[in-house]
Amino acid sequence: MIPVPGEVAAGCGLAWKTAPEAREELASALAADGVPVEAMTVIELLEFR
Amino acid sequence: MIYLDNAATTMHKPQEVVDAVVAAMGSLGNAGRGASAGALDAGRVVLRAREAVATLLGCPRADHVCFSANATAALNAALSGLVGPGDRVVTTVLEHNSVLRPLARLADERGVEVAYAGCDAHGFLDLDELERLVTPGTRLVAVTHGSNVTGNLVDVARVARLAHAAGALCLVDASQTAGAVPLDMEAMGIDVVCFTGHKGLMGPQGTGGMAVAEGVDVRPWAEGGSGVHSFERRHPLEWPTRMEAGTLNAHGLAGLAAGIAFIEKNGGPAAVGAREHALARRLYEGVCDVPGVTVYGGWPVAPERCGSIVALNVDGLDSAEVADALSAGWGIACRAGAHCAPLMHRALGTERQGIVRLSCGWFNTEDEIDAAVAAVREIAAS
Repeated sequence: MIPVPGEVAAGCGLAWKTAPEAREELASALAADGVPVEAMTVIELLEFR
Repeated sequence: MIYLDNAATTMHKPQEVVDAVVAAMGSLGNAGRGASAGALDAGRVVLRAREAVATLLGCPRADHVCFSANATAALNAALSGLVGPGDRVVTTVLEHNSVLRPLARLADERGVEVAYAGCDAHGFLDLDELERLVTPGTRLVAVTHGSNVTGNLVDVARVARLAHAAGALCLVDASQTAGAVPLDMEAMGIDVVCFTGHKGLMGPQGTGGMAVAEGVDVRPWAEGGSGVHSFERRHPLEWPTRMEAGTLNAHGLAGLAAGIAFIEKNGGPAAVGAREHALARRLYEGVCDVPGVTVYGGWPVAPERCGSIVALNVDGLDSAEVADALSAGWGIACRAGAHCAPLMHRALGTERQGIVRLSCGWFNTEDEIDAAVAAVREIAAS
């Protein structure tokens, strides 16, 4: 879980960060648990360490 | 974890606070609801907390300290209870949404006129503009004592003077400063101080309230159980009952009183704040010259008017990205984004990027600060 990047939405909130390849798997898992998803966006983030 | 999000809440509490809450949870009844030992003990706990807050904030009447779940509830209650239809309120761009949103609601629903004083390039409140905006007939001036984004402090004594000169009341949001910056509402002429218990006061979440100067009429916000005058149709107007409908969080208030006692034991707000400020200053001095790092707030020009926050950005990186890197790579907890202070970000030009806020607390160490500095350097260099 990470703070929502401003590129996605302004005004704070939380986002789930994962590799783009896992998009479908993530969507399925969230749907299975009834988690409402506002949006899924692919953005580039730098990796540190 | 290196916890540098004390402006959100103080995660590390004095052991005395934890012990007080645990003891309370095993022994207290409901204050004012009976004469059993447990109920009377709860009443004493609440009274001690009231008196502790009154002394801390310079409120002459302990019965004018009214508790709520947090500062947001206190601010909503105070603003709703002080401001009437068509009134004029002056506030600032430094404010948290817990001030801005209730005022917006009053504007939308009661035709209240709200004016906003701006800030300078370093995020300090423009007191001259505030004074111009506080025209005769202004009902209330509502200001923060310290920005939750930059940590910049506001000269609330001066605000109170100019408010009163225009016949207005002065309300101060002390969420970021209670326990860390001396505040004497009687000496400063402040009419209402709203506070939270879980930040600088090092108490539990679920505590907070308002301290009201004698003679200031705040209409009740919530009406309900009072423990007295049960056959009256409306809520009693005696202080503090008028602002406290329902059961108080006596367990939490036991912890709040212990937190305040801890602060007093360690020299009071001035001493506690000085330690926290010194840590923040060490952090600022470590990052201010790092290429690619922008620091916001008054540190470069007036560090003595800064609290214990260092607000920064790394060029080209979203603040959320930096915060995630600090957490994932170095175990440093901070806050990124808008901090519920939209007008502050608009004034600083950081609406899209947000800001990385590192906020120091009593339990932080110099080693932790140095580690945070090193982490910011490495992120900026990558």
